[in-house]
Amino acid sequence: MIAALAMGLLGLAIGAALALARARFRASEDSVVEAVNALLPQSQCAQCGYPGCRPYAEAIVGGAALNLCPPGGPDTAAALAELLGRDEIEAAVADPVEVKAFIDEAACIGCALCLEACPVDAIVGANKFMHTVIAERCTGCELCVAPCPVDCIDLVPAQERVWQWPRP
Amino acid sequence: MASAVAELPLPAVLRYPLATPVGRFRPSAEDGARARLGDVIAERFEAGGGADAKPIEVLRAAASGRIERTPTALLLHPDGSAERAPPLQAPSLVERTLEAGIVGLGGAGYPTHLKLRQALERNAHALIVNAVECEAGVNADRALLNHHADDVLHGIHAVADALGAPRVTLAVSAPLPAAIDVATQVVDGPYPAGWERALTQRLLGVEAPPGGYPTDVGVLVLNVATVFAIGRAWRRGEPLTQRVVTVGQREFWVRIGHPVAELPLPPRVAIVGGPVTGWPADVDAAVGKTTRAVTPRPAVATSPCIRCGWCATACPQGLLPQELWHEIAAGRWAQTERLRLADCIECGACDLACPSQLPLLAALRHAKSQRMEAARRDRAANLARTRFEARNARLAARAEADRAKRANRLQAPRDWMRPRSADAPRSNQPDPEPHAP
Repeated sequence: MIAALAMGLLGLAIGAALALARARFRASEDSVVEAVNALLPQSQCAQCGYPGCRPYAEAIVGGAALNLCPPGGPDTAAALAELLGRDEIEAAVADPVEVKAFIDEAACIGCALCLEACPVDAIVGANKFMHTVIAERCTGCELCVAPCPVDCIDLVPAQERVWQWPRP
Repeated sequence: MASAVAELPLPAVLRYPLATPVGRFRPSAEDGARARLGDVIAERFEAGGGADAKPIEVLRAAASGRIERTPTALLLHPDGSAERAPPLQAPSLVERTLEAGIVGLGGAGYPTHLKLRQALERNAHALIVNAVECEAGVNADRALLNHHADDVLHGIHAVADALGAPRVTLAVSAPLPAAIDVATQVVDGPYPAGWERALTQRLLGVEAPPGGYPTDVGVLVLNVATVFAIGRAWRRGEPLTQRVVTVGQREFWVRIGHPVAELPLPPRVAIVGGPVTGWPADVDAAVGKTTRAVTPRPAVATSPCIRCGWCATACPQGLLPQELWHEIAAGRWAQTERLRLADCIECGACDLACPSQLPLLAALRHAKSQRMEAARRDRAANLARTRFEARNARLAARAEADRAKRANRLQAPRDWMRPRSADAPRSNQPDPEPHAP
């Protein structure tokens, strides 16, 4: 009798403590979004179908697929799956190809449309002046390519990867 | 003593890969252009340096000829002419070292002018010339001392003069056959006795701080080949375009860029570097500035790890290579950080100790480069995010300012609406705010 009572009380107390802790220390939606966002490559390219990295992070927390980020590639998908404890990634993700925008300066007419399109301010220029891409700041998001009326922006392979020793 | 170090004949093509373990070179010579012996053909900049960054290393043509640019390498087709670039001019030793393209020829490839500058800033009191060459079978440094002691001495004097009056020690692995006019110390001991940290501790009794370098405690350690190159650059204005390399069993003067496939070696897969720290050559491997040796590859049969822990005993940094091996195989990168992967000095002592002949060094190098690439991507993501958020904030502020301005204009009383007093002349001033359209 006493044993049953003691164990019952103990169970109740622990249950109450757990319920309290859950309410008190719950990971807020925002902090989860922040953690997911930190794993995304921040190219803001919208290739996932959402308007930027943070919106995609919010969508992921809401249950969106993990394999939608082309610049992140399989590494990002795997990191997301691990963070969120989701076992399977919906479909294989291709290895990312890192690119940078390159403006053919002879063809540029100085219309300034690409300046507004660039989400990371990586293009310098002004109306009726030639524009150029600051390569270090370009994320290769492709958003400047479509607005260009003379089609003078190309994406060239970036050569920034550090030396990779092969897997033995 | 054997006869002087022989020079290898000029190969049909010299090859300069642009991606190297220390960073990426940017070609400065145009495709199809002609380069003279000693002309700058490529430069390396600090990672993340802006467009106006100064090069931290230059690469100079090792022969006269035509340049061909490929996506991965610069090729130089020698035309056999003996034309050379004018001698180096820079007046200070630090500048001259940069101009000559000298880097740590012992293997690290760290730009020597940066090391010299750090030593000068810290008023280094000691100079250790490192000729310990502790990797078995590599004798390039020894050959330099045997046959070119005069230029080594010139280099020592040049560096010593720049530093003031440091205590100079020449560290060798075995007594020299001929006396040299420098305090010489024989250093023997377990591999890697020639590691600059171990050497500083042993010869001078001072220890570099964790994560730091001997220059942090006022000791400048330079490889003897580096010192030799400084001597040549300082005294004769010669850039670094060739070095002594142990090829198989013999030492040769080899031009930087000499294809490994055209070295006098048995037709087997070659190891670029010494037998311990080298790596298997791919088809277009070439001798680089830090290539001390090219060795025929021994046949090895590996067995599984038995967790004997011998590699942990051998590791001079006190790492646990066996643990790292398993974590790397499983791709648990976070664990490799906990096991201090970044502290690995890539000496290969674990490979020597491993009874299963596992390629531990190759795995550690692979993991290190993976981590560095991940770190680079993180940095790029952070930069992009900062700039994206700054842009959003700016656009929002501008929209807000526009809105406020419009609201103000609507509310501000117009000039003509004000009651006009009789004595005040009508203002000729324009409105403080132009009218909204």
